[in-house]
Amino acid sequence: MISRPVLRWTMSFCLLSVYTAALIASQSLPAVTQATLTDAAVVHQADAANIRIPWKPQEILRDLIKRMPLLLPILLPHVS
Amino acid sequence: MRRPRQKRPPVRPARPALTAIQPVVYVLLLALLFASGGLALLRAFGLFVWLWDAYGSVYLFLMLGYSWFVLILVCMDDMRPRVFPAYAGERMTVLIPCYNESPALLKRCVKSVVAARGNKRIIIIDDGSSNGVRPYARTLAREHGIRIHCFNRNRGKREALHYAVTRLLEDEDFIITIDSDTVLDKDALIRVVEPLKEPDIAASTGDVRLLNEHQNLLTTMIASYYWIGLNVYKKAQSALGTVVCCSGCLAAYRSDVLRANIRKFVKQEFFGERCTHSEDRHLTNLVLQRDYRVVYVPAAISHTETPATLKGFLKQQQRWKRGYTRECLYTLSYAWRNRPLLFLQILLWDLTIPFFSFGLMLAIVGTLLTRPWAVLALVPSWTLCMLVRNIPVLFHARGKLRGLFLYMFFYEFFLYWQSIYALFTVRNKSWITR
Repeated sequence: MISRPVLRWTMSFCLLSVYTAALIASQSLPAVTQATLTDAAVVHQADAANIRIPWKPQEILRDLIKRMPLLLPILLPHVS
Repeated sequence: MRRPRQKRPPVRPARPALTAIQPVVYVLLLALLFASGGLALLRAFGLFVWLWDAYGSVYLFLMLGYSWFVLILVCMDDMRPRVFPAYAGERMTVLIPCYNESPALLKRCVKSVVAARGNKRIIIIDDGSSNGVRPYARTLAREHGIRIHCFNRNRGKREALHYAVTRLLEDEDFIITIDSDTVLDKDALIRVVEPLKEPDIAASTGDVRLLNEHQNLLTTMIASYYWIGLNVYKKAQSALGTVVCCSGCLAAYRSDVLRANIRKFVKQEFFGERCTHSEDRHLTNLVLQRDYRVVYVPAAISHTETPATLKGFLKQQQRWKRGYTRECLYTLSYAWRNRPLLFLQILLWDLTIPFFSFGLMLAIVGTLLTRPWAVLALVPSWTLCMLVRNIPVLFHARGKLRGLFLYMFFYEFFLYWQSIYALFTVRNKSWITR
């Protein structure tokens, strides 16, 4: 029988591992590098990488699903 | 009941501080800030794109590394919680420095301390209050058999603590400092001193909860921020015995260690200026510098009120952030000798990340100014990152999620920029809120 804390921490580290893998994967794709660390951070610069950025809300939402892993690296919440 | 005083080994000497580290790291931080900002500008003109990519990757791996580091430590603490020796009637003194406190809050504080369990003595030090609380404090002291000392003029919390430790103490084992608006749980005192019975632990701190959590959205957000700060980050530090700040709300020290540190504490200077604020963090630094461990005790619960207005909260944060930068620099000056993990944590993450990410933050601001809709593209990924980095919230405090979500925006748009401002005004010693 797995105890609740063990189960919780197993789930936590699985989630963190998936998250880490997604970020690392986004780094290893040269074609989309600019769309992740540069153009997702500076979204309007995506034009430079020939990536069309949709600006209508419904387009953004649809696009988000596809681009989610690519947007991860720009996340900046810190707790100080 | 008088208990025979336990013999303790002599207080450990302080590790010598390499103070030259402080200006060097300070200059490096400024350089990092300008370099990262400059890179964002260059990237905006399409220059040095490869360098911007590399910069982003370094930032990413720093963040990931920190998340793993913190969660592994919290997991260790959760899976094998440390059991401390039980309280057995050791003598303790509770110091309550008070300056222009509201009489109602002081009364609530004193009553909670009187009601708390433990073999205690209580001392109030009025730091030159001018709002009429002094006669009220004297009455409270008379009613509850509390010792009170009043300064004629405001001299600051450090001087108040220094006076109490050098002139008013007797032969207590432990000294507890609390703020004059703190309300203690019945077991808070005995829980917070229990770790100090172990010879390698000289300071401890407890959980802080908000009395006015549900007053408005701001206080809801602050309560979540406190929860994360204490139950994720402070808990992680506690696993290594290197809690960097015993909060002013509730902090306990071994009396011999506090006495040994008090002179240095009151005379602290930073770049030639006498320091006044962030005294709790400096006192913790002085304990760590003597090779003692400092721990967090979630079962020692105190309650306090947070500013309920944006202006009040930002002022408080400004003061804390200045102290944060100053004390991080101080930590580096000794931790490289005796606390390598703490040294790396402060250097690589606590100090570096906020200033290193300046370029990315500028880029985001640029984006939002030109295309405000872009914020929609950021929210889901910000949220996911926030959840992953603070996973314990999902298991232990789901009620804090709403506040955490608000905090995420608040940090990006207000608190982050305060950190940058604090870097340039770190010598400013004004209390701001006073």
